[in-house]
Amino acid sequence: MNAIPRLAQAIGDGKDFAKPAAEIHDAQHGKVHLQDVSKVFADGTVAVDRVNLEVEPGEFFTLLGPSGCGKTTLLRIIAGFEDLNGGAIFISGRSMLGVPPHARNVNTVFQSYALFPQLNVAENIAFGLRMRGVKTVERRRRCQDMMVSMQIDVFAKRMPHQLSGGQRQRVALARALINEPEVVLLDEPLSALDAKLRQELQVELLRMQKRLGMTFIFVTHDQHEALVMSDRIAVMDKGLVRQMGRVDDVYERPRDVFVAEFLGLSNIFRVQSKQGADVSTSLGMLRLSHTPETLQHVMVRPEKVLLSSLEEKGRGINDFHGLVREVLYMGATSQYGLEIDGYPLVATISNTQNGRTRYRVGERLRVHIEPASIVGMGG
Amino acid sequence: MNFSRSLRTYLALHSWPVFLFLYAPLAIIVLFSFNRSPVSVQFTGFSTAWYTSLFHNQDILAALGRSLELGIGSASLGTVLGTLLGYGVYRYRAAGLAWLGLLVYLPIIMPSIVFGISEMIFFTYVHQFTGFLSAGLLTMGVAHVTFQIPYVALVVYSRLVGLDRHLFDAAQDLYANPWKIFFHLVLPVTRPAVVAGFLLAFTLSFDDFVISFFTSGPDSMTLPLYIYGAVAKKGVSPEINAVASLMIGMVLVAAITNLLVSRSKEQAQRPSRPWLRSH
Repeated sequence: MNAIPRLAQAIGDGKDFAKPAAEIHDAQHGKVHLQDVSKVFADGTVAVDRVNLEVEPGEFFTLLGPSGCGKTTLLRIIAGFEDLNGGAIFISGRSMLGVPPHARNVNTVFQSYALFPQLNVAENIAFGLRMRGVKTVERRRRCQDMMVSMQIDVFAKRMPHQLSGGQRQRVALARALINEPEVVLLDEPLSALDAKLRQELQVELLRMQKRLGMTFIFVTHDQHEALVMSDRIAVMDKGLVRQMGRVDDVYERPRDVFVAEFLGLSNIFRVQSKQGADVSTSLGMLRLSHTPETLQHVMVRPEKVLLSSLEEKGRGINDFHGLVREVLYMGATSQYGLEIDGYPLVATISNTQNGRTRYRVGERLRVHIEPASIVGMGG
Repeated sequence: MNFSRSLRTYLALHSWPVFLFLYAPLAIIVLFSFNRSPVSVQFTGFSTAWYTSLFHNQDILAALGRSLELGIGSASLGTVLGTLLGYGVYRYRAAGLAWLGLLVYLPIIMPSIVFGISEMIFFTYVHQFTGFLSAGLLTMGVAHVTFQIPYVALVVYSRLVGLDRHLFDAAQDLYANPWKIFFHLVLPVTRPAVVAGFLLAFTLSFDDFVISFFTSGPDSMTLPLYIYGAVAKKGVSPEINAVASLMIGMVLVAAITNLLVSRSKEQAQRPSRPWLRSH
């Protein structure tokens, strides 16, 4: 819960660091471009289906989706572990077709960390430099610098099995970053950690990425993680990219039911008929400020639902009477399970607002939804 | 607590007859190797004479030398080839090559007498048509390497299977080409298995009788073949008991060393276990 203020602080800190490295390099450096990329496994499963992606240099890009949606396969395609069945892939403007993983200037942080068990922390971190033939003296110096900046220099001589989960995660990240790759790929690197440590490391990771100005492509099934960290996200399902864009745009304006439901809580109603800006739904008539061409559903985020007592004056449109069925107290906010004419509606209200914002189960109240808060969606 | 204690007592009592059954014959051999009398049914007094005569018996020493030469030579080659095979089978296990695994197993489950005879026939043919590979230490070596490979491959393979498969991705990701992956990842992480595979291969070769019997030549009598010949001719002499006792001693030392090494390694690899200290 306290991730947000910490995050603000982290980004604030980031401003004091040196200029992003991306500014120094040419415009293509760190850019990832996938063109109609498809991957079909030997058993016939279509893991990735004609995906088009453009990840800009220095961007924190997240591939979000349920397990089996193809996000990890897509990451492995970028790393070079999987061949393509169709399409093209460019990293920093160069085609990667037929380029093996060891010849790509891309490094991966694995979900299991995959630290080499026979090497200690310093040797693990220096592995990439050693394989590239960097001289011992320089290798030691860079490794030492990296360990100091990641605050793991005290573990330099420890073996991986002697480290905690969070320490291993740092070592895995250091092992990737020390090579100054064009792109850093992260495959659910935080999923094995407990909630508190995960939040701390989210902040640390984000701060690191902003400071280094490197392109990060991050895979996760955790929507909170995606919301907190990403500049842009691609929501994937069954090998397809359902929607791609700035993380706030995708959250505020999901294109379809899958995206709306996967990213955050939502109230979704089927559209029965449409007259101009007014649509008829199970909830009643709703006015929208904007109606897309294909309109099958309308969606309202719970925090956009406004509640007030019955004594207060209504606003004429998108006004309903609701009954409180359930109250979930969540500290900073409360989540209300409402019922309007027999149909459920979820509303989230901040508990720090002035005036009366707390309602009891069984209470009747006024429900208002701003036309601009209603999103019209396709399937 | 009481139950586990009585169970432990029961197991301890129960295991002694089994141990007796296993080790009594070995103990008798060691005992009779120190027998003064040349007849091995009666113990008439303590003597180390047989050990002295053993070390003056040029035939035994020559056989021992050949056994060591064959064992070390074949185990070295068998370990190299077996390690490569184990890694290859591991690396391409997903590529529909499960039948390869079966082929690896086959020499292990094949009766060694069948194996020995087929090797003998094979070498005879090869010799007949090419003039190469006349029966001797070389043919024995080839035969031994052949049956050592699957054992080494299996030991190495099972070590690799126990590893995080992403280690190989990680090495590739960190700029290691296939050669570097082999030398910087596969060899270091499988070293214990490779060493164990070598010791296993050496032991298999050192005490092999059946396959050696069919593939040996007139000048390639190894220790097991010599012992067999001596026993067949003159019965079990105290000298043979002495040789056997030395072999038992060697194996014992090797086994204990192996145990100590692997135990100290295990302790280094595992984090400390505080719950053991509370007792």
